[in-house]
Amino acid sequence: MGALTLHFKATYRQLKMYIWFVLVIIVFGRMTELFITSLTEDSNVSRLSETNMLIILLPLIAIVLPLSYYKRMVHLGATRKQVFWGLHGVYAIWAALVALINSLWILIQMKVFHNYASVVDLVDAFHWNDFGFLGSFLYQTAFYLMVMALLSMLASGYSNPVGWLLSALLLTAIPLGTAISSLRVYVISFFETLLFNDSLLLGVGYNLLLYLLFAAGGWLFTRVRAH
Amino acid sequence: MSIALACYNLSKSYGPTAALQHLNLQLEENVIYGLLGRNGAGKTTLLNTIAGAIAAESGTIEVYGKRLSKREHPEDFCYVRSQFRHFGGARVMEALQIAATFYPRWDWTFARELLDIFLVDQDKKIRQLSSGTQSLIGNIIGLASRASLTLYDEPVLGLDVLMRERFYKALMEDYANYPRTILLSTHLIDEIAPVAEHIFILESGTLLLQDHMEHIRKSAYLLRGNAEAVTSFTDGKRVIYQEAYGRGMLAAIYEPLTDADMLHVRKLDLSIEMLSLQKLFLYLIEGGL
Repeated sequence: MGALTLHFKATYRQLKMYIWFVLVIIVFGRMTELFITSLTEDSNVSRLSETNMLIILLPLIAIVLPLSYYKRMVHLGATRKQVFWGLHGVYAIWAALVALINSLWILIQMKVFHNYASVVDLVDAFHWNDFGFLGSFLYQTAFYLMVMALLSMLASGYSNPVGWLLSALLLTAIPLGTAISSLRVYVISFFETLLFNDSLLLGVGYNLLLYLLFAAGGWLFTRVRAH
Repeated sequence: MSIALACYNLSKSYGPTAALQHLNLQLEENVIYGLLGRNGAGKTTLLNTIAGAIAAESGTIEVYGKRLSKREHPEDFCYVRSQFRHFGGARVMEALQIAATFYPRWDWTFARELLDIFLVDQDKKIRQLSSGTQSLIGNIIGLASRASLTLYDEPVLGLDVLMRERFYKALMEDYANYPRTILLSTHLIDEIAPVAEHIFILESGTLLLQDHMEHIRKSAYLLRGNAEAVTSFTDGKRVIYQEAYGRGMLAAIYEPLTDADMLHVRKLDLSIEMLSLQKLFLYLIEGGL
């Protein structure tokens, strides 16, 4: 069994309950929505794209795994490095999988179901579909990976005072940045550059740069973690 | 014989409590060592430090001559913890399959044999097993990994006498066929005596005693008799414990005795008996050497 397959299987075992819970919630949510809309006259009720809900899995994976997977794997004989790279491989698979599903689903909705008008889709909202199927897939994968690396870094630092400080700083920086008007410009510009970049190369590049930064931070916490 | 593991001047504390104090320890290649000590003596801290699970505040660790950096996991190394964190939802075989990928010398035939010996159902989920059986999974990994340096922290904790004996037997037989360096920490002192070739006794983070089992067997004695006679005989000898009762005295000594010494004992009308490892441990801890 290859190292990545092993980590993917082992993490799936660890996440199985969460994954199925999210999937059941999505299905139930959609069924409830269908039931309610069938009772109303208004057929133009907007709804969130079904596959966008899958994105919930990604922060869940990035938070749960560093907390519950690390010790178990190390106790079975893995080194810190093996666990760290294994987790990032797993993040990449999930990020790519969700990005692929979202990129495909928007195409299916537009070209097969023709029911796109009342759907709110993040891929469309961030104009990622302007870059075509492959561009949308790449942009999403890079963005999802970056967010997963950030959350994984914070979760890995849970037993470290620096980790707590970093979490506190990030939690205060976002509301503070949006509340102070002089800072708001920079905050908006930062998120625009990251999420709404007109250049695919720059958009993906900035996200990957941040991913590398957060992954490096995650490694610094992982290499000093006790087990 | 070459040195498999060397610890120099290791110190580690938890707040005001010193768990390891300038500890020096060397393990030779292909020897089974027993690590003894009462609760809180620093055994697990020492094993965790060697495994790179925690970092010592000072001191160095070398494995096969390679100096390890702080928290570095040694190569070709296996550490079986007493508090083994399992994937509860995984089946026994799945856990072993994961472990097998981390040990280049993993022996599947032996692992399956051990599952039979320890009566562990490979298809059962780990959370369905008793705590004793769960700890056996760690022991199976420790044995089947065949790592050249293997540490066990309380491997027989929670096991019944049958499984304990089976573990020692499997360990000894496999060690005879595939010699390697093994360090076993345990509270069941007399059980380790036939297994270990060399003993370390740890107390308050320092080594109270380290010696070959063979030398221990020839050196640990308990003397009883008239207080004056006991004092006269033990004069100049390494007395690890003594206790007066009425006119009599009991003394535990740690020194190999010659035939002349034995003759002297008989002349002084003293009773003498060899100390078990457990009694030696007890007297050492009580007497503080």
